[in-house]
Amino acid sequence: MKNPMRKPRAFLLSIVILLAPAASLAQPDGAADAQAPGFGLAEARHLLNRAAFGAPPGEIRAFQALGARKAVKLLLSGGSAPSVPGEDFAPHVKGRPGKKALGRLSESKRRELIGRYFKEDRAQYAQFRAWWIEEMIETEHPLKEKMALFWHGYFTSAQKEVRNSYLMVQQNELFREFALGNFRTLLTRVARDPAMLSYLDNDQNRKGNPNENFARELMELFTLGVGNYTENDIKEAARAFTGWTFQKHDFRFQHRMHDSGEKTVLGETGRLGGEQVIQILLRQEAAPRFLSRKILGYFAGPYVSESMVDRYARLLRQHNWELKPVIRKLFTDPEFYGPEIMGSRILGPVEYVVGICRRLEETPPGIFLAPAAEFLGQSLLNPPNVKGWEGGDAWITTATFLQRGNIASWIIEGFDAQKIRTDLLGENRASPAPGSSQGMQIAPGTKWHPTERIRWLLPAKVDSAEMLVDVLCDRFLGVQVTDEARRSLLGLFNERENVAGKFRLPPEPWLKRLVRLILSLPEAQLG
Amino acid sequence: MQLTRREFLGKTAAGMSAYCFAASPVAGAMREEIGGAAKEDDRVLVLLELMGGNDGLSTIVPYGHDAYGQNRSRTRIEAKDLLKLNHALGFHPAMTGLKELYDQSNLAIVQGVGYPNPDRSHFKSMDIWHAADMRGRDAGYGWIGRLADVAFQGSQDPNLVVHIGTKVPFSLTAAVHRPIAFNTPESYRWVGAKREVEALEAAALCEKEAPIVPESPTAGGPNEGRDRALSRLRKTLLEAQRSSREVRDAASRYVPRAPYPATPLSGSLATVSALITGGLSTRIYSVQTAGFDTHVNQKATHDRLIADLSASVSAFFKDLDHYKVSDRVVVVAYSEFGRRLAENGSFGTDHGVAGPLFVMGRPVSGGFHSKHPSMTKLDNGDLVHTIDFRQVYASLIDDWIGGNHPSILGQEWKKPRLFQN
Repeated sequence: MKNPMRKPRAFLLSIVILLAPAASLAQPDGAADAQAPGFGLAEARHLLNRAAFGAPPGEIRAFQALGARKAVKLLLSGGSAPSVPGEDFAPHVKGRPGKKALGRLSESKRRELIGRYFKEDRAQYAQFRAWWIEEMIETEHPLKEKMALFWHGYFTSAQKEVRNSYLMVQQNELFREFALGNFRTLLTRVARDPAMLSYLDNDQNRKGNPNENFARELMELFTLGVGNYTENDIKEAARAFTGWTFQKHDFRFQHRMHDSGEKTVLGETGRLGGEQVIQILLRQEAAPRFLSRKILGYFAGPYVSESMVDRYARLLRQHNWELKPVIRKLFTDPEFYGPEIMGSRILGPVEYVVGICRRLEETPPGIFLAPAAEFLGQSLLNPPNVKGWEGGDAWITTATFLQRGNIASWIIEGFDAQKIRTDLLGENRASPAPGSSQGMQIAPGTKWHPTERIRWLLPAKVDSAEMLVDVLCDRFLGVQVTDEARRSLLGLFNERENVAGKFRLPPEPWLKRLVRLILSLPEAQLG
Repeated sequence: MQLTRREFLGKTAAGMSAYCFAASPVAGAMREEIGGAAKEDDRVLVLLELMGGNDGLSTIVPYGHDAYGQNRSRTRIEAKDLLKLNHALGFHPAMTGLKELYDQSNLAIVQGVGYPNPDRSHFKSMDIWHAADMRGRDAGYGWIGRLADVAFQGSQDPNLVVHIGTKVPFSLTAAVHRPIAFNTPESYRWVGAKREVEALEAAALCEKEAPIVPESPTAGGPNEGRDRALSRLRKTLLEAQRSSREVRDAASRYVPRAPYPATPLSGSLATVSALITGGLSTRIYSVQTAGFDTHVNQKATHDRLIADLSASVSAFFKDLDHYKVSDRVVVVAYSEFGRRLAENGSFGTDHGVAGPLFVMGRPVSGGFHSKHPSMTKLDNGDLVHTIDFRQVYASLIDDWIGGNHPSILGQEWKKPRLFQN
């Protein structure tokens, strides 16, 4: 499928309007008083930063008017979003040509066929990444995409190793299907997922010749964490997963390759199979704590208390690994709205890029946005290693900080591929170092011109620089702007022009640059 | 300095009324104070990380040991193909460039490098190497970070530690002398017209609103979380702005003078060469190359990686020779662990323990610097290390960068003699 069909743009706001009491929407500011204390506009903004990818001011007001309970309910259920990408992204390249297709061909024909496959597969991978990042912008169920992104970093597999985009899309569907489902079921399905079996070499794990790669990461990264198992547990668990492989696109258990002998994993002995090892791991005390810490790190940020980790570990156990009630609890937890948690989280590149688009209410081409996020350190479908992305402070280096501002300027002001190349090569004429890339891989011909005007996002009457700066900061920042940054932005305006009655709205290019500046602020990296 | 809004807008705004705004001269002044050309005797250390766990036994091949052939029936390299070093050991056939360095006595081979109670997790083991501490990340800062904070104490130069790439390794994390990082010098900047960018820089750092980096944010304040994050972010942005121009200036005149292969590793090393020859004041560079986690069909992958390593490093030194700076540059190439002696069932090898490490450069004292691990007395199927990696660090600290290793590494280590004189 060359051009994945996009469904019409559907903003969450439309559903919110259906659900919200009419009066509260008519007077959004007055309605704040009517809500239970503790869920004001700042809290609604925080919830949409974390449970979604940020939101424009109208959505924030509408969610605030709903109140915490209903807002969270809406985020958990989503709208009528499709559950799997297959509904509007249909992969057409379905894996490397098999023996049947190649058998009778000459060596050169074979090579040609395989070469063409890899080329088409890479193209499909690029299309799918583009589809996914556009989906994050336009979806009615942003929490599902946010969870899918979480699982993608948690249960990593990478196209550069798997080299089969069909399997990567299939894995992505799994993350989407179980985004807010049961962790035990998801883990079991992941252990049987062809992309994972390929990525962690379990398709090579055979009786008599065990390959420990999957067994190790299952304990270290998927369930327990370092220090909660021994090297021998890994060796024994690897034997339990012998014979777990896949054929074409489906899991397959090969009896002949399976070691059915007795094994001892974490003190439990028996003729264990893979499913039983998973159950043993999930029974360990370390398991719910491990997942709790990961989920809280993702949604609540770096300053989570140990008591909070313990509390959510107990909840995971209580709910038998069902995620929905645990996530619901988190989003209505007063601690989640505490001053050390709100605004403390550094946005990942995908969140940063998608957040700009949601607040701009525009969808630039995904074939630009996905490479842009990659340029900033987060390559969708290609996490750096099996541990996924480190996140937090590691997102921000001197390089990525500057490049975030550049990406923002291209989204806000528009570009073509030639402009990006020239911008990045800069004033220096010297050719780049051999073998190096400028980091931004954009197909020739990619271009973008925003249709939205910044002035259209403003109230009808903007009568001072203060008002202009406040309105734009409110729209484009996930946190409240600091006083010093606000004064700095106001410093860009001539004092003579900025007196009552004399203020004239600057022209569109100037407004765009002001927005770019806001998006380059340290404040814009938080959410 | 007064800038008109027209200048901020550039040509697109021609004909507009001239709203004025002031851009702070602070950024410019700050740039003047820092940096400066490198002194002739400034020694440079390049850390070259082979990520994923390099199979040392396919790098320096112990062809003379029966146990090698017995345990590597499907991944072994035939003796006749090796670049022989002695009766028992030979370089991988693709290591012609490194063999040349070895023959010139510019390549030190430290064999059997490891540490006690080895961890076979990539991340934990790399953390241990990065921290030079068995606690890994719990040690707080990386070993290079701790070294930089002591060795460069008092310096305001932001360019002393440089990572080529966007993701900074833990080894470089520091309390004060945090590294700068970028992919390529040319792209390391905010795009736009010069004056527009200056305005952007001034406003983003709130330069007129001192302090630029707020003191410790108010604990328990209504924006505690935001302010804690902001103080770190502002420091990073300040360092980015200060280093961006100097890095681009240093690289602007560079032309590679050696046959670098067209690979990312070569690109990174050529960038390092550009900055050294351009006079940037950096003392420590960090470069990474990945893909060494060869569980499956090892040979094809490893052959390619080793060939790249050898050709890239060889070109790097030839390039530095051309520019007459190679007497002050040393490269250390290491990996988080070696791989298990016995191959696995997938034509590959699994995570192991001890492995070889290379220290390279004109000032290096070439040859072998420790014993090869026993091929028969194994620990649970793994080679037992014969030298601790911190012994190598101790030498790099004391004898190359300049420092007192026990204050960085927490204890006294016996040093190999890696340098001439």
